[in-house]
Amino acid sequence: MAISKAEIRGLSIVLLGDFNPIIFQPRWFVSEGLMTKAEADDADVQVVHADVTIFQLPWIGVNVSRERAVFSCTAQPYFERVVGVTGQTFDLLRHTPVRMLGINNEAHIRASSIEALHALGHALAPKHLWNEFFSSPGLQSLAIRQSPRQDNMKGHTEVTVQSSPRIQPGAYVRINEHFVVNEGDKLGADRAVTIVRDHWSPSAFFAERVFVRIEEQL
Amino acid sequence: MKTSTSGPAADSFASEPAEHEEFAIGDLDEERIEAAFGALPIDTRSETERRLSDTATTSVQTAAPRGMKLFARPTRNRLATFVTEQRWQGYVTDVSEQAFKANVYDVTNSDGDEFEEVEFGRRDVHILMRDMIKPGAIFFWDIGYEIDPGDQHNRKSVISFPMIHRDTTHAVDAARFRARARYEELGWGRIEDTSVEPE
Repeated sequence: MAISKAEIRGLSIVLLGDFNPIIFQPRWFVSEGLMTKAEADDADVQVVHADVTIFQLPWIGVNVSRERAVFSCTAQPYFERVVGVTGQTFDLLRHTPVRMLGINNEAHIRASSIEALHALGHALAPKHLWNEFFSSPGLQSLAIRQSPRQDNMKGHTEVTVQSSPRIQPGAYVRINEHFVVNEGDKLGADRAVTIVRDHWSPSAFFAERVFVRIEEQL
Repeated sequence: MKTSTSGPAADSFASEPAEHEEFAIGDLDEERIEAAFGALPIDTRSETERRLSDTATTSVQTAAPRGMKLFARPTRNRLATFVTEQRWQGYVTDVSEQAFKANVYDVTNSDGDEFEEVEFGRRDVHILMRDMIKPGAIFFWDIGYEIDPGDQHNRKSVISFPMIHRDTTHAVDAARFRARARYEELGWGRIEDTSVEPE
């Protein structure tokens, strides 16, 4: 399988539910064997509070508020660890109510030329209709959503393509694998962890396919 | 820099949205914002995407009172970026006290399906992953350069063992089913297996 040559990659796992942010501090990850003490000591802790905890290490960013928990990473070799830490965290906090889960794969892909980037924009959004109104219409952002999901899970898959703010000329591509863990009644995090276990790998493969396909256009 | 309040982009894609036009909802107390401006959007998109899309001309702006402008608080960024130049996937074949051997293949080369044997030191692997170094364990080996927040490029080799199974329950069941069929075909007897035949 071809893999993407994107210059910048990103992964974030987003959970929506009811969280106790103060738990998610580096010391807790050390006490549970998910992080070394040296790593925790090196963490850049922005805030640890009952309402929000935010800290970063080179390989993981943790941002937890009362309703939203985000585990992120911008270095592909550490994706597996971030997914593992996320899964193990909510294995331990399995009674945490989680309503929705998102696995986001992102890439900033360099275009061979500005013309190639424009060609991608025209391929994704043909302009013949807009040419009636504008002299030079330009695509700002495009989102394509598959709903319902193709794996019979509740939720959707959405691909967004924009101009990259970090690589120019380049495209930013994001794939949001959105899962409704349970509609209405809240369930514990164990269901979300099962979804991460079963869907992380397929989501990574799917993202790779999309990134490679976009790269071919650039 | 083109701002998002300008007219239609002259090009197919617009350039970078102006940072000062973003609402720093990720950096403020969300309950306070919600109390003041109404419910925040609920979705599981990444922060990056929320920030990119929540520009001044989107519907999010309409929630802000006239004359009020929220600026993004400058945030430190410790997250490293890694540019992978070559990636191998492999499985462990032999383990000793200080090292382990593995067969790896280059996944960056779509034509390459040849396995190479390599040997790594156990200390090449993060301490929290070392107990995963067992015969048969799969892993990834990335060579590239890490870009720190100061834009310094540091050449690096990283080995990572999946800490969560990459195989789905369905794939594991299918593999068990194939293994059982092969065992029986070879007359090696039955193996203990209570898995359900996959659809």
